[in-house]
Amino acid sequence: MDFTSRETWTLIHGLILGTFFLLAFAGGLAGLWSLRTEYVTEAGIIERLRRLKIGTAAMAVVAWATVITGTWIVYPWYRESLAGTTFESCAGLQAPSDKCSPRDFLLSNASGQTSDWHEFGMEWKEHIAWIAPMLATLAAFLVFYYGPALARNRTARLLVLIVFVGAFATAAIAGLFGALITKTAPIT
Amino acid sequence: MGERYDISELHDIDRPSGPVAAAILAAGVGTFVLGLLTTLAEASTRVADALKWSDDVGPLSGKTILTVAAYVVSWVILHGIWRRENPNLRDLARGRCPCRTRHRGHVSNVL
Repeated sequence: MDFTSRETWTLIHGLILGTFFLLAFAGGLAGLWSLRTEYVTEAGIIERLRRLKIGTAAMAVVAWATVITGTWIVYPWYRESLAGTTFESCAGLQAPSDKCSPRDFLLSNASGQTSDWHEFGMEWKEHIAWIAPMLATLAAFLVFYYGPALARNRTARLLVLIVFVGAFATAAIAGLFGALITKTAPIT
Repeated sequence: MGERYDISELHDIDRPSGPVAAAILAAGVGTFVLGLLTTLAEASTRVADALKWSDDVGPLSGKTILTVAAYVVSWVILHGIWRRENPNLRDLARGRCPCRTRHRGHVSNVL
């Protein structure tokens, strides 16, 4: 049950921060969708709004923390160039090693056709992920700015919902690619 | 859903639409800069090398730092300009410059 430093950071990035963001989305979506004057009393709106403010602000902070740890801590371990330009150190391996980084391993096709995981999956993931915190911050800002008006103004509520779903969608694409790439070429 | 939505409803809220427009546009600016830099870095190794601000992270370092800088700076500037204004959000939604400001509609404060 020991984790290396790299495995620990990978867990913090993907399993703790990333998963928190994706799971918290469901609660936020339900809270936003049902924040309507016809469904909730005035006292209920105040109570729900407080939770929504805390939730969306926490999600924005977590989204930033996820992409910062991913890009500046985990990603350098993924992209180390250890196997040279011809990836000879990766030959015959079933998983990355000290002489074959995850990126080298995927590009070497040493264990099946894996180069697309880097060339399509990782390239998408490392960029699209950065859109999520901007949209999550925008969603949190709109919740704070509109406040109780969200309950009576359906267009304001729809605007926040669209931004909120956009943040989730971009994070989900990045998270899915991250999970699949980690399964194929884990950082150890 | 069965409901009709109209962006003009947003102007019924008793707060200026400027800060909202600024925040939305800033996220758009950040996303655009990220896309532009990614495309340029793929098209030119000189651009990719210029964005390599960290050897460990590679070109992604420059792309992400410039993206966040563009996002934050554009938000601060646009917020400063539109803080008390009411730019037309319908124009923004249609991809036009929301330069025309409009008067606030009726004020509905009843929950």
